[in-house]
Amino acid sequence: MGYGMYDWLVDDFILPILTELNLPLVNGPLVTMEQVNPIRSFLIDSLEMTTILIFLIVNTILLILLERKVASGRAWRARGPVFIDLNWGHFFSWPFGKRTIKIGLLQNIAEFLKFFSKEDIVPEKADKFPFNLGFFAFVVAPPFILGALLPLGTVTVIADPAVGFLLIFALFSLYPIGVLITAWSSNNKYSLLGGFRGAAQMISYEIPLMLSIAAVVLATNSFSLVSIAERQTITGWGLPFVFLMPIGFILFMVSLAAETERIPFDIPEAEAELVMGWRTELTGFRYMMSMATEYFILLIGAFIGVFLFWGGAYLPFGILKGEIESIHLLAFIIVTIKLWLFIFLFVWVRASLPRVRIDQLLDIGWKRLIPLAILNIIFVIIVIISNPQLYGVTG
Amino acid sequence: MVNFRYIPNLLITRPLAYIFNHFLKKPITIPDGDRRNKDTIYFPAELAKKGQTILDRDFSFSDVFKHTPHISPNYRGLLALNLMNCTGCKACSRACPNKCIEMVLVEPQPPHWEKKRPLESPQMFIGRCMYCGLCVDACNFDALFHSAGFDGASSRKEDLHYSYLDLYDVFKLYFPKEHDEQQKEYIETHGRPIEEFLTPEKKNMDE
Repeated sequence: MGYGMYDWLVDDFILPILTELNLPLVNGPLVTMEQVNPIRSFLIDSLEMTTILIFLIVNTILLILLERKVASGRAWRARGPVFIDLNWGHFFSWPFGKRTIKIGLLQNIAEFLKFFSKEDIVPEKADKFPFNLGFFAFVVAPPFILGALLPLGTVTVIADPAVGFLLIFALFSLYPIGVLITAWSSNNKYSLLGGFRGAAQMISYEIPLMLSIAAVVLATNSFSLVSIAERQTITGWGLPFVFLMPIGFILFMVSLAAETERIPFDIPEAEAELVMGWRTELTGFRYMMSMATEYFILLIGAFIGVFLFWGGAYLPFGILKGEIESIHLLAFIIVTIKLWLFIFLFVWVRASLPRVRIDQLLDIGWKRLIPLAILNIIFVIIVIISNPQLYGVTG
Repeated sequence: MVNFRYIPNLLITRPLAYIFNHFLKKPITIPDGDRRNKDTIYFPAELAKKGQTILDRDFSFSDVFKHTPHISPNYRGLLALNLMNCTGCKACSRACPNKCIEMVLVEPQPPHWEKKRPLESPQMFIGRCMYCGLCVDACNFDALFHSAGFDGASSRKEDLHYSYLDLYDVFKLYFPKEHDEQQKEYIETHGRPIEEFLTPEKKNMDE
């Protein structure tokens, strides 16, 4: 696997320069293929990792801006943040006439800088080692590892292991452990209560999430995001799974909203009721990282949703299939647009709905979603037995 | 206008439709990101510096209420004084529980005042006002109103002292239709608008 777009850069530019520099390496100068190959793959890998990391971070920042512009701006007929930005009127004055055009692009950057400049407070009676390790190793770090598994097109993915997105959910499930460790070690009853609620919610909603995905796995016989996306071009009527198993898609959306602690399921950090949930004792940089991680996880969840239910980089009815497979940039643009549409659904729901109570939350999770998910699986099994062509099952 | 009763409420469809209707509408805030004071449409004082009223914008006064539903027509905002109706009966001053209304002599006296007793009018220290509305209830001559104005905050204490002319300015800003009608009658009978009688020195300085 691999993106395949950095091969020419490494072969034609970086490796010749390294060869001419005659660096004092352990094995002598770069001459034979045995010496060149590991360095070549290392360079390509690091370039690809940098690409996906920059893609995820930039999209996370823009996603927070989208949330502020839509959920706290346009939904209430206001404009969201507008002040901190370049004046785009200097550059694009032609269609609008000469006036100030600001959309608040730099607002999040400014706020990140503000959080960086704040004092990093560790509570005096906190358990220092788990307070640091539990937060950074279990909450912040796991989502960054996932970049290697996320495809940016049809086959452009760094690693495509057989377990596929199961690995993503395995790393996801470290998150409640980190939440509990941070909450317990910060030595504060509010963060402890918030941590309990958060862990209970995330663990109980992992079950319907996995069950809704199990239906897709049954239909496609695969765990790989790439092959599941490709399978959705040969289903009945050429439609992606969002139309073929709508109950599964709704279950996935609801459980993902609960997994990422978003409104209407943001009980762990109910601003009005609990202080800030398990984040109560986090300050400055830590607080920023905890909030950014939440959006980071939402973005990764959107990746999974797009590739499992919306057909990934492919369009329905097999439109432009050959072009999408051959032109990587086109596939990348389609994936990005689908990601943003998927996230827009979450922002829209957030703007519309109030918060549920915790007993309602557990009711929805255990009494509604899990039976529905099992019904969905039974429905999918019946379809596979009676009409396997509908899900593209061949042979 | 969408009637949301016709949208079936399956799980969450009706609130989603309601918010989606908002996405399609134009935001009520002003797109200019440079000026903090223009963040909402509802700053008549800013317009007054440019010699405009709300009516000069493409919003009419009733439209402002329509577009800013958070300001109800019976909102108890800054107090507005119609000087042409005021008789100086001191009812508002006596009704005020916070003693923020003080009656002062109107100098020079306006021409419509023909009684022997010199005309007095209220001046206010709105820093002490709690917007209870007792003075508006007490007024028997349709002279004192609550306007929809909420932007009375200032960083200087002197700005919180509203003379009768300042209160009259609030009336002109927030009730432009009513003010225009009555001012027309006033000019027919007395020749000039009332504020020109009350501020002769200022007028001389301008000339």
